[in-house]
Amino acid sequence: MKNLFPLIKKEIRIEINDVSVSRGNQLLFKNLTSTITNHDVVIVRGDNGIGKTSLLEAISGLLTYSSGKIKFLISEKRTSFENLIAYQPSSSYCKTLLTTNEELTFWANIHNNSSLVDDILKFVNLQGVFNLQTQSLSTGQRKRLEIAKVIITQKPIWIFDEPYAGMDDNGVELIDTVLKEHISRGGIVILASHKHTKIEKIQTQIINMKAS
Amino acid sequence: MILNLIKRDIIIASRSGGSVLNGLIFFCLFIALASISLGGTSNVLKPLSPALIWLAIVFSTMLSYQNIFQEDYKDGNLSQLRLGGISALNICIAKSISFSIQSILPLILSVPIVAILLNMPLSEIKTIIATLIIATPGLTVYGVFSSAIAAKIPGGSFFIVLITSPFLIPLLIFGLESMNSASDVSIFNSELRVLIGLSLIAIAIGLPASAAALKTNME
Amino acid sequence: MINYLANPSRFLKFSKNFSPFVGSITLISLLVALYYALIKSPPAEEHGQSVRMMYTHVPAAWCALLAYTSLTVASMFSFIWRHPLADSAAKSIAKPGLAFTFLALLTGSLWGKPAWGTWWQWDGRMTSVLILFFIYIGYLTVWSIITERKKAARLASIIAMVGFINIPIIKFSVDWWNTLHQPASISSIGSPGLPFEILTPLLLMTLSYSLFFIWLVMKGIEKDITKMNIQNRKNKPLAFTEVEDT
Repeated sequence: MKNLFPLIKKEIRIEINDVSVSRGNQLLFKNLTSTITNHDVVIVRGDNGIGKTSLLEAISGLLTYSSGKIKFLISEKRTSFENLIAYQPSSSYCKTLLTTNEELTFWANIHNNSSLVDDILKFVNLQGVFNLQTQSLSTGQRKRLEIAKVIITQKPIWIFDEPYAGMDDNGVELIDTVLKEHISRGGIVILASHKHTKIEKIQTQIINMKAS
Repeated sequence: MILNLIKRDIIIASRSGGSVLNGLIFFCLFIALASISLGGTSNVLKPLSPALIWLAIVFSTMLSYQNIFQEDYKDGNLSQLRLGGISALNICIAKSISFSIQSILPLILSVPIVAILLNMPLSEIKTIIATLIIATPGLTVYGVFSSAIAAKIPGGSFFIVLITSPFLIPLLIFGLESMNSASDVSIFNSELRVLIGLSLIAIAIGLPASAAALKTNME
Repeated sequence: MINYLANPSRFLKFSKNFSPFVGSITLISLLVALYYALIKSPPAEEHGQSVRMMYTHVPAAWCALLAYTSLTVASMFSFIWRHPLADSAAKSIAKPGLAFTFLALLTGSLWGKPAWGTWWQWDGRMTSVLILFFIYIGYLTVWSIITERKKAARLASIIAMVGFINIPIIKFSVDWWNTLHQPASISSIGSPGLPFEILTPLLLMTLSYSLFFIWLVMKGIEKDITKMNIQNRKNKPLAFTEVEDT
């Protein structure tokens, strides 16, 4: 398992400075300021529809923010978000007609980590559905595939949108174990969630979103 | 990297059990209905057959444009590719190649059968297939372009057809004209050279434009 | 001066003060031109009074092309520098551009029937103007379908630029196709040997159409900037964020 969670030796920092985010022509929120670094667990809380997804997308670089600045630094040197971020949205992006193996291998090739595919499938316990099309997976199996896809990026910053949705206790346990392992190796976790799980014991920052 | 994207698209297309056939069915249906409505006699159809085949291919291809980026945009795959560091240009190149293979290639392969039904002589069949292959980059890239612009629009097929049609007209004109000027000795007449030029222009301008449009939509 | 006017609010002030002046000289020039076109100039030998349609048709076609060229320039500014005034300018140019193109097609058709016996012909010029019409429609559809202003501006500018490169190609293709099928039967209007009495009203009408076009564009930009300012003022955030370190 050690090789699946590499030790992150360099100091990684996200500097969010007075950021405002809009969707279309509607301003969602403004004046967001925060600093996030290695071993941080940031939990974003708020009601449905308040803008948690937009906030996560803005941090991950997928949504252009309308003012302010978000800087990513490795050892004090500026870098781009693509080098650091693995993002798992609330809905699965699996191609339904590919098998579990094909789906994971595709993304492993994108991130140049194809040697890890077998180990990761074993780790998340998906060897049994190796050749099953992802459309036939159960909710729990699909979520474990999503975790596998995040691990295989081998990126230090993990951003999750509602990772525990639809999971039973075992599934929640697995997610928390994986997150804790990643954090202990120096990684960063940012997640938005309604559920309260054991991860709160090691949380370092809460971003609360409330209606104006 | 591009190869991985192309492989994945083709595997998915081959398992989708029929959506690839949509274009093919429309192609055959168009030819059948056109032949019937024009009277069905061989001396009427024979001179019109190149035009009918070209029209059928252009319309069938236009129908398939919508699927180029819509699904990948909706399910979040484009965002994930971006996070994986894949440039928009590479995505467009990969999509162009896989679109040519999954949508245009089946049509071109069916041309001989359809051409025989329209009583086209063998030399003409060879020429029309050559012109279609040469025009394929043009047909593909403009579709990728308008699909990239309309990626976010849910019911975008009408819009895509509207945007693409002005650019397909020169391809249509020169594709048919090069057939008229073709002789038994060589198909390389000046119209064919222009057609080659048009496809090259499409690649040189259409691909970067598609990449710019895709990047804009992903911001 | 361009740098001074490049600021949207300064342009708004400039336009509000200057456009009535443009409007008035447009009106004057139009009246003078119409006098020359309808009254002073002689009717043509073959076609009689219907040749006066030329005075509405040719300037409209000229303005349609002028509009597309300025649309491309505005789109290039919009794409390269992401300037909001360039966005407004592009949008405000396209709408009159579409109208002039439609007017050119319509007046051409109305002129064609009495003069040459047919409402329409698929010759080089007419077909490429029709395609220009469709390109304008595609361009404006982007603005109306995509709600996010910055995205709409950028995507529209890409379409305008790709379209610009393709218009000469389309013109070339259709001319080629026509020389093989039917010789162009519409005489070249732009020929240099036009007599003075016909040239004068033609130039005057073209001048007034162009002034009208400029006035329309200025008014369009004014409206667009005003709308943008109102939207910016109204924008209150839906939520606020609290960051707690634990």
